[in-house]
Amino acid sequence: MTTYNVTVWVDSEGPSITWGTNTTIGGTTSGAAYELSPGDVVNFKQVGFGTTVISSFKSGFWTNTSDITLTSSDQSKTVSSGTLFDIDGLTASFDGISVTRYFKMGGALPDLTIDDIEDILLPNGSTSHDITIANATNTTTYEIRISSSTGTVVATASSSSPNGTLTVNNAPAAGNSKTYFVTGRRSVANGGSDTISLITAYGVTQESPGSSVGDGGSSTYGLQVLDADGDIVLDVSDRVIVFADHVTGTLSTTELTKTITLDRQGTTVIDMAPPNVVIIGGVAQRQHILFTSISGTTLTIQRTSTTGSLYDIPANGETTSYNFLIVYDPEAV
Amino acid sequence: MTYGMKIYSGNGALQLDSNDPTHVIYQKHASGTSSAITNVGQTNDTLDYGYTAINVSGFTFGEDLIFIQPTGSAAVKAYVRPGSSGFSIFSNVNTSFRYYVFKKASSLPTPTTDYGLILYDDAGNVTFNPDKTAARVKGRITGTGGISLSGKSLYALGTFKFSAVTAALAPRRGRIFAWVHTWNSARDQVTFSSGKVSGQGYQATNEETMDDAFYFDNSLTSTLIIEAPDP
Repeated sequence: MTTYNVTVWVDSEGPSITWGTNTTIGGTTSGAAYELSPGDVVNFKQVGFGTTVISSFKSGFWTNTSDITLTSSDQSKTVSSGTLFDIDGLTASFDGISVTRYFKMGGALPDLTIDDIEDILLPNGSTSHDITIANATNTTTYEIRISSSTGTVVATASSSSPNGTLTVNNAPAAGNSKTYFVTGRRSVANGGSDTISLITAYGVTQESPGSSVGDGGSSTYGLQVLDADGDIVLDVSDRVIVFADHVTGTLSTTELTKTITLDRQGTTVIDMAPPNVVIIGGVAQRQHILFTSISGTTLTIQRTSTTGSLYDIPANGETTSYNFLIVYDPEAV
Repeated sequence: MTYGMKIYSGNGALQLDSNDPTHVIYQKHASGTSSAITNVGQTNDTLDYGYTAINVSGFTFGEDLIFIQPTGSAAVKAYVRPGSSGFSIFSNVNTSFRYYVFKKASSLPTPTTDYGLILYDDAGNVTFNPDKTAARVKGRITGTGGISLSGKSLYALGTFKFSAVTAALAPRRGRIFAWVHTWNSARDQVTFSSGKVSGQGYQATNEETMDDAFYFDNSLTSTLIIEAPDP
């Protein structure tokens, strides 16, 4: 059972009636009727001058159908156990003007209390991913959607036994991520209204393809150096590490990318001062999370955004400092 | 200089080059075993990595390299964050770590040995020191991958990079991902991949705010794997 509050705003000078500027319940057309469930309570009250009457409480939809003369205090109506999808238009009237808002009889609610679903990191090359649904109920249809909570369904849990592993035949492209929305709905056959409700969302990221370079190989000739304890200092099968450069500086408020010429070529970059805190005030500090690529003596420093929030305008860009150690491990030529 | 020498590995990788004064290899400065991590935690069914800090006398921020290897027999994930006087090791297991700190050979004390090979550049700087174990590279991994060398004791470079920050609708919470090394129990196999390091991602109140706390980049981070004896 849910309690809703409707406040009707009345301007006696106009005159005008505004239905619930502080609430979203009540559809403006019958096709957009707001869904209520049996047992729900709706409180009505008025702000402003004059006397407004709410009428047309439909028999079978409400437990009490008498009109309400609004005051500044809440007066409640309770939703009856009426016919599924029945529509009732309530009218607020004052001084010859009126406003109508529509309500729809809903059914039993879906079970939305399933266990959390973890974010997933997929190996490169994956075309699907598995999730686990637990504590679900078979009167609810559980679906996995993309784009939004009302987007395309890419997987549906078993209707008879929704708990367990569900394979989702959908995956982000390599090097990308995608958000999946888990929704529940209770069908008419199960006493519900088939309305989609968002339960949770999880993210899936597919790794980029990696690569590796091995050691110095093997040979019957070359140099082997031992220390006084007999431990190998350098062997013919080794490659070595050479200092390339240490670079520090700042990306300006508008720089997403910066290119630096190193003292000598490098292969591996070590971030000496990565950020310690990556979320501040609910915003990922993406403007301070740097990534690099290296080719010969060219080091490219990048960030995904000059701002923290995706909705910040570029003029609000922030500077960020960098501090990288670059080394070189020569390969076979 | 018209004389000097170059030494190559068995497959032709340049190891030493007396003609190139910038070809200064990394050799051992310090090694040891850390205190055991004791503060691995948990948030929303996700482990929050614990850490242990190591101070290193003579550590040079911006030059020295750190390599680590877990002790014990369990499979362990870890990464390193450097500091001004040493470094911290973060891991998903309450365990201790062996570590090596390497410096440029030219930054190490002058060799005291009276035998073996000492290499100098044209200015008289030592570019190879026979007293100090070199950083003996057994592999470089870029992005997801692994190095497996049966029977060898492998250490991984202390490097750190966030890969993703995610958000989840309240009451759930997003996660934080970073690049981590994973050793097998024999420590002769190391893989490098992005993994969950914290359950302290963002808790969003609606779908729209989920975007604000989401971060992901698909760049390929590199790491180095070396072989070294127990300290």
